[in-house]
This record gives sequence, structure tokens and C-alpha cells, in this order.
Amino acid sequence: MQQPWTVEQVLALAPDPASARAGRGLSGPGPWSDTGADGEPALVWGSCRGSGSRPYQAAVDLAGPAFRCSCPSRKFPCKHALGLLLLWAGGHVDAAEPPEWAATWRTGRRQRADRTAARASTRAQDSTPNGGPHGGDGSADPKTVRRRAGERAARVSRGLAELDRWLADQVRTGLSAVEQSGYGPVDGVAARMVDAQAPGVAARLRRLAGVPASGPGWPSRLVEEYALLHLLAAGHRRLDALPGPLAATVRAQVGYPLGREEVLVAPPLRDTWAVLGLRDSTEDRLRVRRVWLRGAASGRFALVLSYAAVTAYGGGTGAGLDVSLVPGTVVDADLHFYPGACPLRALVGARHAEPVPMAELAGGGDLADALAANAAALAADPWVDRWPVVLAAAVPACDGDTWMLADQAGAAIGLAPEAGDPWRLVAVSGGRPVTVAAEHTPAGLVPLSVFHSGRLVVL
Amino acid sequence: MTDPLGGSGGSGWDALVTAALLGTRRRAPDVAALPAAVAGYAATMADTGDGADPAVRLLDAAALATVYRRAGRRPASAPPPLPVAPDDTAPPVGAAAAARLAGLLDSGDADLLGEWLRAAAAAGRRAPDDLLPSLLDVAVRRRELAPHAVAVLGRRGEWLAGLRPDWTRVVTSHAAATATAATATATTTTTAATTTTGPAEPPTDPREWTHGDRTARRRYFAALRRTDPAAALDLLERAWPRETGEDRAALLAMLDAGLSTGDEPLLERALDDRRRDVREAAGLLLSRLPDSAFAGRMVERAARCVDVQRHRGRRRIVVTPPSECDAAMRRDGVQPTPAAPGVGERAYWLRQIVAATPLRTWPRLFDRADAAAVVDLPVDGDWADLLRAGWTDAAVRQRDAEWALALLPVAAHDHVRLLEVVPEAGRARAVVELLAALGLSVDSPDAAASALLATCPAPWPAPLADAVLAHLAKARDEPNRYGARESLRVAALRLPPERAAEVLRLARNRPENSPWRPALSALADTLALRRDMLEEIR
Repeated sequence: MQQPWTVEQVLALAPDPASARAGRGLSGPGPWSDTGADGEPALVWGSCRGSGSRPYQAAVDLAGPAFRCSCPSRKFPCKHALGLLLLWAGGHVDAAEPPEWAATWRTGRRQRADRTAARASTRAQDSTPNGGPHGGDGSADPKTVRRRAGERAARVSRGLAELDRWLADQVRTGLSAVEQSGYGPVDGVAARMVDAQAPGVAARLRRLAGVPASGPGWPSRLVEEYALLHLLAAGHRRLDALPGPLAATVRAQVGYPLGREEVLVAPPLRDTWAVLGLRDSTEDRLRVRRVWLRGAASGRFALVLSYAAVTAYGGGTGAGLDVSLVPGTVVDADLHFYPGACPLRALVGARHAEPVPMAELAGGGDLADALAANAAALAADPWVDRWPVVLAAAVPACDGDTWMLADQAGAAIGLAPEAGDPWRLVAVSGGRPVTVAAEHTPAGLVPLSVFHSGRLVVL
Repeated sequence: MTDPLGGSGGSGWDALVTAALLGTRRRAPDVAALPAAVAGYAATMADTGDGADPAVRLLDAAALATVYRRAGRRPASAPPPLPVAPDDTAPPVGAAAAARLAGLLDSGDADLLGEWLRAAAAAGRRAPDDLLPSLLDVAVRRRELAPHAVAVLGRRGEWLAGLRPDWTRVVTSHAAATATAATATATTTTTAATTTTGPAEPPTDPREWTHGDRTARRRYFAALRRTDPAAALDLLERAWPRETGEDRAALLAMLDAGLSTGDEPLLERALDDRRRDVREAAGLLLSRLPDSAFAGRMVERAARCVDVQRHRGRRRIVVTPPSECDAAMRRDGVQPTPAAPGVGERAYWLRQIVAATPLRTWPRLFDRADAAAVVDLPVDGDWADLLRAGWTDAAVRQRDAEWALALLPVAAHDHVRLLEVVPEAGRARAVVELLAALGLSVDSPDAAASALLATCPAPWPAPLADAVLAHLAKARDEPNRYGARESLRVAALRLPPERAAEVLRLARNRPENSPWRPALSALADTLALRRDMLEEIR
């Protein structure tokens, strides 16, 4: 039987804190019966007595991981699956022969997974080079695909031309009018961008609806955002004349869809990837999970995004959020980067080994290195507004009521407002330099995690 | 961060922003003020296509300038550094215990968190660094957990607390908790002294008394009374004529700490005070001074009302309630009108007299050895209940553990009040006997059993644990849910964690659909959780 996971690894799977609490409540042997674990990667199963008349049967296939439970909950994993894994982590589950229902489920799941992998690899073998959009529907007829692509490009061009005219109008009449007008006008333009099939532009517009109310310096920030949108419109006008990677960046910023299969087509980069940090946020009724990785050999950064729908009341199944990357571990895997001038977003392809705990966080520099890396990223992709950095010996410092990170060379950069007060970082550092992974944004740094006494602490 | 395009208005980026704010209709953008590289590109773009339109010229220049600014940012110089935290001497708890603490802080379960913190402090461990901010936040939000949280902060935690005013306040006000953690003991004398909490340091600034607000003055007085009772009494006597009524009552009540016969003159004076709350406070404190004149007056009245006679060879208490409530009695705090309807006046006066009479009077009066012997005496007529009620009031007021224990078997409703007078170490045995004597089951409808169990602090000694488990084993299958739930809630936190397996067996012995099954399983799980939690800390 495989070595059980740690409690931390199990709790990382919980879709929200309420599930984690509920799972912990079911982690004792009291409600469980007929439990067992088998194989490597392990299959864990058990029956949990709930409030209903019959016990719920829960099973977890660690290859995945995948969850199955007969309870009516829509959460994923449900509290019974979490409780079962915690029970296993606590050493209360013995090796045993799996019962019929669990074994059948495992075989069926693994067959399906193999079939999907086979399909992806055959598609990779007879694929076209990194090129234009396919509309994401996998349709095989090249003529239809080209026609649809042409229509889409035309719609987007018209939409962006309208946006450019609107931007010029705003600047002509003056931005001081924006303070009073509120969300209305911007929302209207954003909606038309959605109609023009440019969802990335729409999202950027919606985000800047809040800038006029964001405090002193708002005119400067608004001019920056308008200028970058103008640049994007200009870039799209000249799309065919741009070099391949930059064109891919423009398409991604505008919001052309790119299916997983197409990204997986690109040759992967195999490395031992350290998982530096994890952050969840909510945008436009979607839960977004960001996981940052850094390759040990290549020194490359990567960002893995996953999404889950949020229901009207803020709950959600959590299904879709990636649970396989745990901060503080190192994964030997293939990463497939999305095409672009400055590649950062990636998908995890084949994994070659089980994750191991991180022994150190190497490859950090000082603030000058971080700013240089940021500048290099901007030179390739001018729309970059978040870039990961690792600072080898940073100390939190306070200037009045602004928090900053200072390096050993006497330089300091302020923390972005979204970072809040960095008390955990201060507590862990104790006033001494520590290795910090952070995101650099125009508004300042956002600390992600700190490496301390042999383990990674997520902030 | 410094801006490579300069920050002063009228040049570079700011000029562009101003032009955009006003509108290019009114002010043309001045591209020439931008740095050479940007201005150069902006000029070439102006010559092509839409470049002639000033609005487009502004946006073009702004796009170039934005990327230029973002890429060219330079860091600021570091501010003065934070002080470096001192090295810790105590070892941190292990990884499993740290994960457990994180879970407890997250779940907000104050009882289990309190137990964890106390166990960690007793084992000489400290909390892991990354959990210190959450721990300090809990100390601020939950007063009852503050002393235990402070005890596991370690030097890093105290350093961290110094960086934020609300954390600093909570740590300094509980700093003595760490120093005196082991010195709290239950007293075994019959008159238990009040336990003092908080720092036992003399107050430093006399201006707090002369110029402070109400809270500051009371704090000052309380601290002074703890360290130098005579000086505090002197201070109060001198200030007495000028104090407001509310302050007189509050400050007088604080004389309870370190009460002695020296306080009698002021208390006797206070019996004549205009305000009722002052008089009541004086009366309460005087009833704790068995050698005072007040006590002497009460003994005299008691002796007139209560006597012992021989009746058919057996001694028997005979009661003659007072016929009036004269001025002297009223001065000594006896209320003339009964508070509740349906209580006879004379009985009401008698009860108050008995409540205020020093308890050591009764064995002397009745020529009996001790409290138990007195309580055993038969009482004539219907006066038994009233007499016992009066003695109960006296035992609570005078904090007399011996009388409380003697009265427990015969008191009708006041068990919890009496138990609270008994030192914690003695309560478990009393409760075991009481549960048996009263025939209370664990799921009694008004949660009476759980109220008794709640007076015994964790961990319960073996006899009490055995008794409770025996009750659980033979409780009927259809329990009163409220009573059962309350009892199990208390038991979950106070039964020794080693009993987890036994409780699980009790659960499995119950029929499939009995409500006891899930309830006892949950109890077993909590006990197992506490057992694991305490194991991890070691």
C-alpha cells in the first residue's frame, strides 16, 4: 500500500474552508466502517454513517485524484471523501482487498483516462504547427475552420475599431467627466466587446471601471489602462504583420480561445518544477486558482490557472480547480506553455514521478534582478502586469504605514495594496532576511510564500 | 519607487495626464517634454495615418510612456529596518501539533483551542512562527483565551506583538500570567480567599487616582488594595466624603480583597449611607468579618430566634421568627418587605438574619462538633427548609466550603451555588455522591446533571469519569435530547481522553437506530481527537 498523504496535502484538496471543517469533523474512526486502501497509486474506500438511513459509500482514487461518494452533496470533493482521506492520513485505514463497487469504479475510470490520453497523443502526431485559432470545437474540416476564423477576426476588428474611437473620444472630452459618470458607460462598451467576441478586452474594461474611485493618482492609472487598450487595438490591426509569438500574445489578450489540446501540442519543457505558491480569487462569477511554479534547471517561471463556477450565493462545487499541485513540493513533469511573446501560462502534461517535498528555494536574486526580469518581460509583452520573482534575502520593513520588502543592497519596493499587512511574513522572518516568492505588479509587490526552517509557508 | 519620467507637474508624464483630464479639445498634449526615446517614437507616429488627431497622439505617446515607466522603475531606498527578534529558548511544537493548531485556529473552537494552549504551555513548548499572528488575533478577540495564548508566544511572539498596539495591550496585560502560571492553587481553608487575577504590581502613577477617569481610578484602587490593603483603606477613608454615590459603592466593594478587621470602622459608617447600594455592599462585607460588632449584633438576634431543646430525649432546633423588623435591623441591611410574593414577612426576616450570622456561631450555639452535625439536627415545625436556605445563603456569602459540603445533600435547588464555594479539587467527589443521592440521570430534562458536571474542571478524576460512563451505559434508549446533549457537551471536553475506546464500545452496544449511537460516537471522536492532540504536543 502506498504511503498515506499528510494531513496538509489532504486539506489542500478542500474546495473551501467550510468543507475542510466538515471533513475534519468526519476524520475520526467513529462514523466509518468497512474501510481499506489498496494499490499504488492508492484506492481508498469506506462507508460513512450520515444523517440518512443508509451509510454513504465514499472512495478516492489517488491517481488523479478522483472522488466518488453516494451522498447528495454537490461539492467536489465532498466532506465524506475528505474525512476518509484524513482518516487514512491518520493511519486508521488498513490495507485490504477492494470491494466490488470500488474496484469496478477504479477500473472504469482508468480506462477512460487512458482513452483520453491516447486521443490527445494521436492528435499531437498529426497536428498543424502553432498557428491560428480553431474555434475550440475540434471540427476537422479545414475550410469551415478557416471561414469561421475569418469571420471572427472581422468581428473583432470592427469591435476594436469602435473601442479605439471610444478611447479617443474619452481623451478628447477629458477624463474628469469619468469621475461622475460611474460604471454605466464602461459597462456598455464592455458588453459590446463581448458581442464582438473579444472577451479579454471586455474583462480589462470591466476591471478599470473601479479605477476612478481608487484614490489619489487615479487619473494616472486610468490613462495607463486606456493607453494599453489603445496599444492592443493597434496590435490587432497589424496582427498579420507581427512576429508569431507577439501575435499569439495579442490574440490571448484580446481573448481568442485556445483549447487544451492545442496547448498540449506544443513541445513540452521537462524540469523539476517547484510549486512556489497558490492563490484563489473570484472574478466575474468564476473562482480562479493560480499556482506558480519554477523550474530548477531552466529557472523558468510558470503559472497554472484553473477555474470553477461560483453559484449565486458564493458557494460552488470547486470542481475544476486544480488540486494536484501542492505548494512546498517539487514535481518532475512536462509543462506545455501557452504560445506568446513572453510565455508564462502553462498546462501540466505528463508527470514522471510522485511529488517530493521542497528542500530549499534556490535561484533567488535581489530587487535589481527582479526589476530587470520584469523589464525583460515587458520588452517582449507590453501588457504584462504581474510577473513572479524570487528574492533570495528579503526583509519586510515599514515606512510609516507602508510595508515594503528590502533586499541586502539597501533597495526596497512597496507592497501592493492588494497584499494587505504582511503579518505572517513578518512573524516568520523575525526581522531577518528570508527567501520570498512574490508577484511584481505596477502597484507593488504581492508576497506569495516564504521558505523558512525547511518548509514553504504560503502567505 | 521612483518614476523615471519625473513626478513634478508640468513635465513628462504628469503633463500628459493633465492633458487627458482636461481633454485634448482644450489642451494639446505636449509630447516634447517626454524623454528623448519616447518623444522620438511619438513624433514618427504622429506623421502617419490618424496621428494628426491630438487625442490619438496622446494615446500613442501614453502607450509608449507607460511601458517605458513600468520597465524603468527603480526601487526606493530601504527605510530603517525593524528590530531583529531575540532568539527563542523554548522549542516549537512538532509538525503534527502545528497543523493541529492551525486547524483549531481556523475552526474557532475555543474550548479545544484552550486545552491545546494549556497543554503546550505545560510542556514548555511554543507556537510555530507562522501561526503567531492568528494566535495574537485570537488573544485580542477572546479574553478567556488570552492568558493561555500569551503563554505560548515565546520571544518571537512577544517581539511580534510589540509591532502592533492592540497586540501589545493584550500581551502586557497578561504578562504576569506566564510568570505566575504555576502558582494558582485552591485554598483548603474554610473561608476561601478571593483569587486574584492579573498582575500583582503596585500602581505607579498617583495621578491616575487624582486625575484619572472612573475606570483608571478603579484600576488604581484595585491594584493598590492587592499590594497594600491598609494604604488603600486609608486612601478611601480620606476620599470618602467627596466620592459620588456610585463610586462609593464600587470602591467599597473592592475592599473584599484583603478584607480584615481594620476595615470595620469604614464599613460600619457606610451602613448609615444615604444610598442603598452602599449600605448593601457594607452589609455583605461585614458578614464576612466574624469578629465585628455587626456580627455580634447578628449573633444576638440569631440566638433569640433559634434555639435547641430536648424533646423526648432528642435534641431538636426550635425556631421563633422575629416579631418585628426594627430600625437597628434595617440599619444592618435586613429588608423589611419580601421581594417575592407568597413569602411570609417574619420568615423573610429570619432568613436574612441567618444569612448574615457567622456560621461558626451555630456549632457553638447548639453544642455540636461541626457543620455536618448541626445540619443533621431535626428542626421543629416547617422551618427546616427556611433554615437551610438561610444557611445556604450564608455559606455562599461567607465562602465556607465546610458548610457547603454539609448542606449539599439537603439543599433543594442550590447545588451549583454551593459547589462553586467548594474548592475545585473537592468538587468531583461531591458531585458523584450528589448524582447518586439525587438519582439524577445524565439526560435529566432541565440539564440539572450537566450543570453539576460543569462545576468540575477538566480533567475529571477517575471516580467521576467512572460514574458518568456508568450513567451513560445504563441511560434509557429514548433520552431527553436537551439534557443529554448538554451533558455530553460538558463530558466531551472534560472526560480524560484515554476513555475514548470505552465510549466507542458503549456506542456500538446500542441498537442500530438509537439516538445514542451517533451521539456517543461523536463523544468518542472528540475524546480521540483530544487524545491525539495531546500526544502530538508531547
